[in-house]
Order: sequence, then C-alpha cells, then structure tokens
Amino acid sequence: MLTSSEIEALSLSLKVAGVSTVFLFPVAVALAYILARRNFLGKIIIEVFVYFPLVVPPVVIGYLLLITLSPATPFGSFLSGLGINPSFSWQGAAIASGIMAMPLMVRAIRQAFEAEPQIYSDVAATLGASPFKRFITISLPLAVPSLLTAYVLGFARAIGEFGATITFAANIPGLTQTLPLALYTEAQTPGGEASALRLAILCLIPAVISLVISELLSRRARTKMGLIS
Amino acid sequence: MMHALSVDVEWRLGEQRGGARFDLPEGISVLIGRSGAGKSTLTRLILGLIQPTSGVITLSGDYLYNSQKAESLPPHKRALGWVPQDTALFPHMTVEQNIAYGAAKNNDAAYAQEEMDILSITSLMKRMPHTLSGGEARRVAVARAVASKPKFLVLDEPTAGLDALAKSSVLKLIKNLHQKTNLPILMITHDYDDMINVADYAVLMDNNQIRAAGTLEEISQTPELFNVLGLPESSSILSGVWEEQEGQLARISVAGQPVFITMPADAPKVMSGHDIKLRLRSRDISLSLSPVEGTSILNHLTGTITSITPHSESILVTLQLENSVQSITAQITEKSMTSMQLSQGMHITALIKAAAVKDLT
Repeated sequence: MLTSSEIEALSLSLKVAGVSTVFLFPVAVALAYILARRNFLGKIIIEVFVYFPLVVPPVVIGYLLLITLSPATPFGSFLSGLGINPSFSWQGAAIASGIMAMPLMVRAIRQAFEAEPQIYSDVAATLGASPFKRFITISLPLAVPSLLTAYVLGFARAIGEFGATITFAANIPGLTQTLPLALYTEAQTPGGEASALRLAILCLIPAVISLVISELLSRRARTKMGLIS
Repeated sequence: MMHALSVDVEWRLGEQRGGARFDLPEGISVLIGRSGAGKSTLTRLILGLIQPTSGVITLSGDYLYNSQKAESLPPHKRALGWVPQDTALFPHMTVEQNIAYGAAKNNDAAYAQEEMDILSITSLMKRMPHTLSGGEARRVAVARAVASKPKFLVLDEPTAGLDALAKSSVLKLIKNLHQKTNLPILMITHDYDDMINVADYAVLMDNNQIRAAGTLEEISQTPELFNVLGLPESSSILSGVWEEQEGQLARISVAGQPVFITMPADAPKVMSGHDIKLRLRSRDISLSLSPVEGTSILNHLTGTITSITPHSESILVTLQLENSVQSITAQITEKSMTSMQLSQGMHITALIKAAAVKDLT
C-alpha cells in the first residue's frame, strides 16, 4: 500500500519531530517559566529570540541556520571538527523543526504558568519549599494539562515543518526528506498524484492521534484536580 | 518580656503607603479591620512574600526582617504557618499529600497524628481537595500549616464564607488547637464576632495604619473600634472568674463584684475558678445615680465615669469598675444624659439583666 520511500519519509518525520521536540521541551519549559515569572533587564531580548520564528518566513530561518552552521563558517567548521555536521543531515532537519516549533511550545506553556494562581507557590513557600521545590512540586504538576497540549502542538508543528528544513537540510530522500518534503516532491512529479495523496494523509494521522491522546490525558489531569467534572 | 511576634515596619506598594507597629503575646491575637484596611498586605509582609521599605520583624526574638542590617529571611525559612483565606489546598494532591507537604519540614509522625486527631481529619485523608466542604477544607489547610511545626500560625479570614454552624465550629477548633498545642496564633478578620469569640489580644487596623492594640477587654472599650468597623452598636468585654452555678444562673466574679448570667440547660459544666469572658451590649446597660433596690435586675455594677462620648443619636458613657482596670460602656439617650447630669469622675451604678450578659468562653 505504501511504497518504501513513503515509509522512509514517515519514519524519518517521526524521528525528526520526536528528537527535536524531546530536546526542545525542557528548554521551552525553562524559557516559559522565566518569561512568566521573572522580570529582568534584557527579558525583551529573550522574548524576541523565542518568538522570532513565528513572524519570520521559515525559509529565512533555514537560511540563517545555513549561514551560521554550514562547515564554511567558523562555528560550522568547529562543529564539523567535532564530527557534527547538521546541514544536509536529519539532525539539521531536527534543529530546523525544533526552532520552528519553539514559539508555539513556549507560548502555550507560558500561558499555563501565568494562569497559575500565585497563592499555591506562596503557601508552599511558607511550608518550607525552596523556589526550586516549588517549581517541581507545584508549578509543573499544575501545568500538566497545558504541558501536554504544548508538547503536541510542538510535535505537530515539527512534523509539518517545510520551509526551514528544505533550506537548511535540503531535500535528500532517505536522509532529510520528511513527509512534507516528500509530498512536495511527489506533487511536482508527473504521475505522483496518488503518492502525494497518501503522503498528505500520512501527515494528518500523527497529528490527529497526538491531539486525541493529549486531549484525553489533559482531561484526566484536569478532572483529578476538580477543574472539570 | 519576650513577644511571640513583634512588628515595626513601613511599606510602600505603588501609591499605597502604610506602617504598623505592635507586639503580639503568646495567645490568640486578632488583626481586625474592614476590607481594604491593609490586613492582607501586612500579612504578606510578615510572611516574607513582599518586602517592607524599612523596619524590623522578630519572631520569638529572632529577626525575620531587619532593614538596618539588610536582613530578610526568605518565606521558606521563616517558621510561620499560614492558612490563606481560600485555603489554597494544592488541587493536584490528596488531603494526605497536602499535609505531608507541610510535614516534610519536620518529619514527626507522632506529632502529625496528634494534630490530625485534634482537627478530626483522619477520615478525609484520601480525598481530593475539590471534594471537601468549606469547613473540611479549612481544617485540612490548618492541619497542613500546623504540620510544618511553625512557631507562629497566621489564619487569614478563617470563617469567611462559612455558614453560622461551620463558622462556630472553626472558631472552636482554633481555640482548641491553641489550648492543646500552645501555638501562638494571629487571626485576620473583619468580623467583630470572630474577634470577641477567640481573641486574647487584638490589633485594629484602618487605612494601612494600626489604630489601636491591646487586650480584648481594652480594645472593646476603644471608641475607634466601632467607628472603624462601622458597627451599629458598642459592646464591652469583661473577664471574670466562674464562681458557681445556681440552677439556671451562674455567678461570675468580676473584680470582686458578682455578675449573674443565665445558662442554657445543656451548657457544658464549668469548673469554679475558671477564667471566663463576658460580653455586655451597651444598649442593654442602664445607669443609676444611686444603688437601686426592689428591682428584678440582678446585676448592679458600680464604677466611676471615665468618658462620655456622643455616638450617632445617643451617648456612650464608659465607667471603670470599682477596684478594677476593666470598663463597661452604657448607651443612653440624650434625654437621660441631661436629666441625670452625668459628668466624668461621678460614681455610678450600672444595671444589667442576667439574660443580657453573654458568655464568650
């Protein structure tokens, strides 16, 4: 039913989206917490950096990655000296989709931290909890429903990433050709309509499944806390 | 004398400035004031959740905050327990986990068990907070705060939003907790009845300033109390010693003068020699220039007039009881005032029906 190249594109997409979001998630949680709870000089710089990919064309992000991380640049040659060569590799695709997913994830998590009533952390403090313990035992568990949603949003965004990936990691079948890139290629190829349709459906399936799972888990968490009955 | 908690701070929050200076003894104290008086701000300053601009806060003599030495203990290092108004039980934890969160600070299983017995919450342990009633949630929140073995407990409006029955049970519980653990308590409230029911000591706050502080008996004689709280009537609180019960009547000695009160048939038996607090409403007190005989009124207290204050359309006359520092205030009409020609320093008799005296203990 699916051709081997389609299966390859699917598994590559899952790998790229999975790896990028797993690495991105803790960073997004930390950034969201800092943006929600702390006020400091230069906060605006972090905000601009985090939300930048949301407003800039993805192809620009890909191009910026290309010129900063390619082996021709000092930083890129330093990386390739370490055996890391992100451009034209699946790791490059993961970096590109991770950066594109970051603003969505950070936004969703930040809203959860901002919505958390301050009083829970205040009470925890009077019960002897240090700021770190308060974050781990109060803020994080209370944000669980939103964390799940944020993760799924980021994952879906990473699966669907196109512009930055094709610019930075190129469109190499079996290496960097994720589902949207394969779909684009098939749509450009005479006689590729059937394959393009199958790939389009494949793009939808992980997105729908993860949305359903996150909604179910998040409902369960909210029911436990009495937020919905 | 070592105070349980001493506060002498000034603060500024945006445009709002305030200051407070008072010392709390070891018993149950009440911080009373209308909403917006600055009670919450002051509470958060004591807890360390916000910072004063200057001053000193000490807990049993140890500094929590000292602006001169630039010292301020963070809230998690202050040995203060706090029960916020809406309890703020952690919604993602069971009752047991909520209490364990507090107990993590000390690890004393026997203490935790004793405390749960006092607060009678043993049966609630597996429940989630949103399934608890208002009264239950408050008991659990108190248990969680006490579980951290604080040196001082702050209760923020513990009776707000409760019905009369739940309210009186929470107040009883506070007194009971204090009796059994000796933990000094500060209760924040805007409710006069809450105050007279539990307080040994009271601090009156208005407009981000302390207006008066003193024992319950003293504060009940402060005319400001009624103006600040907007109370329709004034009352006096007297402390006395239970002497004996004669049928439906109990005899209390207030500085050597007997006061009779009627007791409901099902009232718990009180041991003689027990300290007791009485509440007398000013409108229930009549005054007479000379001792009265041949009257059904049982209580005749003599004293000297210390102040005469107009109060809306009547006059408040305060007299200091003979051989005592305690005072009572009578509310009389202008007509009576004129015909009796009362003035400060006059010796006078106050008449109060036994049924009008309320036992607060």
